[in-house]
Amino acid sequence: MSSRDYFSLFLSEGRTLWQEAAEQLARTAPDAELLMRIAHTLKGMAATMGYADLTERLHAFEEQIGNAPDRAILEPAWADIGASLDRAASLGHDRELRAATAGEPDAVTADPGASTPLEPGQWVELVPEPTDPMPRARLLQWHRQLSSWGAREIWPEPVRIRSEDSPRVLRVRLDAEWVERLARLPRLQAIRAAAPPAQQRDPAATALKVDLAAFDTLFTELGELHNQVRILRAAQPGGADWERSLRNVQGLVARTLHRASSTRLSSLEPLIDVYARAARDAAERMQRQITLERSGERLRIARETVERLLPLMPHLARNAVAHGLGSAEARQQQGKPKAGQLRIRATQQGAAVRLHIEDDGPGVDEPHLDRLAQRHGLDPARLSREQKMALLFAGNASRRSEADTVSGRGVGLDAVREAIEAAGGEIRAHSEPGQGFRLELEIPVPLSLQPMLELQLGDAVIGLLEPGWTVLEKAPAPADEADHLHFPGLPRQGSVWLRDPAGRLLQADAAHPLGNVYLHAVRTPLADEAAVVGFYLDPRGFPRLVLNPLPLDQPVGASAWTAAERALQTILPRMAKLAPLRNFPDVSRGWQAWSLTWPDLGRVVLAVRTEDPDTLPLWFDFAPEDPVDAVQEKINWIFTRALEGTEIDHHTLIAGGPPQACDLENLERGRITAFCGFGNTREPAAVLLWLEGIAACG
Amino acid sequence: MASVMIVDDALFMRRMLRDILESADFEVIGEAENGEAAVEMFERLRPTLVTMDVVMPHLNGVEATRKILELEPQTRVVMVSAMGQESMILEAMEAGASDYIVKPFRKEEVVETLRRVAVQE
Repeated sequence: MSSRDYFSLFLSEGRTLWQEAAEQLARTAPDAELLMRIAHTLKGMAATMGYADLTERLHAFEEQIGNAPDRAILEPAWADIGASLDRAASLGHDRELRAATAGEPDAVTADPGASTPLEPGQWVELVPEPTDPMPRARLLQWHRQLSSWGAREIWPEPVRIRSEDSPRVLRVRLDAEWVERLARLPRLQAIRAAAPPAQQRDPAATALKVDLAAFDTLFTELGELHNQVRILRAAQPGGADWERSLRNVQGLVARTLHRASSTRLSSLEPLIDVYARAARDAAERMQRQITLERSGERLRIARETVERLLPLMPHLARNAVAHGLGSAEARQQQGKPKAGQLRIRATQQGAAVRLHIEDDGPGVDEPHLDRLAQRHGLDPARLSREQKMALLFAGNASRRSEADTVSGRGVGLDAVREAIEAAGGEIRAHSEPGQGFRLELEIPVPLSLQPMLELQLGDAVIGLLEPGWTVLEKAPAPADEADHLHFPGLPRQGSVWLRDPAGRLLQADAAHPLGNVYLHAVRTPLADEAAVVGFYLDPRGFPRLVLNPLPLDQPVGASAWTAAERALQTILPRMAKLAPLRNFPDVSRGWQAWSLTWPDLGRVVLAVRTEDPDTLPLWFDFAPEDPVDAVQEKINWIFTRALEGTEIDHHTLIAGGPPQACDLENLERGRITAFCGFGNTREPAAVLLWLEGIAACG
Repeated sequence: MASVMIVDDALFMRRMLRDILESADFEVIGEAENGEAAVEMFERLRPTLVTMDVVMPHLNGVEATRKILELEPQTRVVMVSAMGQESMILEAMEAGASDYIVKPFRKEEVVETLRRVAVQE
């Protein structure tokens, strides 16, 4: 074909396309997807013809459809595009077509391998030509080619290449097998010697941004601590100055610890705030009624995870309001409240924080999931519902213009998944048709980093995970008893009052924040008891339970506290079964024993201690791979020796069960006077022993 | 020379690609104007090479590429797209497309790319 033929074909096809879109725009509800497609096709044609201005206008038009398909803006823009087409027609065929048909070559690119001698074993960096319009796609292509040659050490991973902030180079360790073929990689501009990727990790992954003011205060406090320690050394032990300084030191250590941990951790509050605000804004804009329930914002996770999730929260909120509530009619038919219910709440469960984001709308139905699977090129008939739900996190398989319920649901979920997986966590979606949609983000974080309260309630002491409690010391008894949070089975004669986030009150004898204690998360299956999250030892060595009354996995709308109370009602009677052990006849010298025995789990945790201060605690760590039977045998063995008071040496101690990491080198002979076990016999974690009569240790 | 199928919803683009490829001794054995027609035509003609537009009605280019590579993993699919579709090109590359060309393209670029992927191991 001659350039004149191309020109006529361009004009006739271009005008047909223009006309089709103009008719579409004249409708009350134009088909955005069709408009997008026409604009895109015309853009490709115009670019090929060399009409830069027209290409630019069409690109802007596409963007506009993607942002907000508003007819008032689109119609005049489309008229301008028509005028550009007319101008092209009047200029005639010989003006353009320089791009495709002329075929003038680019400037000659340098021989990619020339500057670097390529030695097998060496790391090199492969750089795409600067003119390559899609360098990330190029790197993906190279990655695949190198892998097919047998290269194993390539950086970054394909999944990293996809992200916007990934470096626009590929590093690879050269291998004699294929080094000769490197120059064949298409659009390769240069090969440069490079450091192995481990030494050049993404600084964002290992560095921490710290607020300078907080950092400076940390130094001031450390300086003060240094001073207080000097005063302490000069003071008379046991005297008034000494006591005062000691208290100062304790306070300073606690504050410094808190401040230091704050540089690494952030509460979930900013995430929940942004979600709530975006949901309200979206509801106002879309004229929908919502109620929003939030809780657990004081729980803490790694700061960088909060920072990564922050920009994604408005997406989630808008998705929920736009797609997650259902129409007013549908809600009425299903007997749901008029206002859509949204809930965002965080709970600590075991060694992880779970952030639940829920709505009570129509959920995700099967046809939607089928279409989603098809868009990923998968056969829905061969996939389970869970597999299809997992596709919600697989990235956007649909075009921007197909913002229907399914793709709308999925917008941003792949980025959320990446952020959660980078933190070593997991993300799950739950939804049954008609039953709402629940997103569950599980973020690992040690229990010991969470804010805690220790409560004295009559004889019992418990740790309370602190989801926004306020301590109202010595508050007068409230008039309305019905509003109290009852911890069944516990005497309530104390005078400290705590207010829960819902404004209800709990009475205790004493309450103080727990700092610097070793907290051990409860492992499964004990962790299924929703309200029990962990154990710790109080300063005298007594094992304590940690409770988190914010319950898990209850339907939206139910009272959080009802479920918490129910959980506690289940647990506390079981705790009462421990009584027989307290005055075990063979136990002398003030021993106390507390065994948490869950009927369905067998012997779960054993805790025995003595008042004798001349004992030495030693840790026994059980590895998860240790055989369960052997661990159980070991715990039984320890328990029996403890009760018998038999003398042991380190050989028998080790021989009594599986090999341990415990340092017993210097133990000659001793007696187990107490021990405390964490975890359970199905999934043991650690045992702490108090040993008496040790010749030397450490 | 290798057999090629051209997939594009614009006649203008199909004609231009056909001329470029035929002048370089490729054998153009078919043209399809959308993804669905492309898959159907691919099953009948089994070309060695496919040039694939990205944005098309009835199955877009990424999905059509997936289906074609499922039918015949050895096929070399080269994506042809205007600017602004980088994420879809990335998806297509992940799905197994061999290379891509961005409109406006040069004749040499089209020929070189197709020749290269045709002999790629």
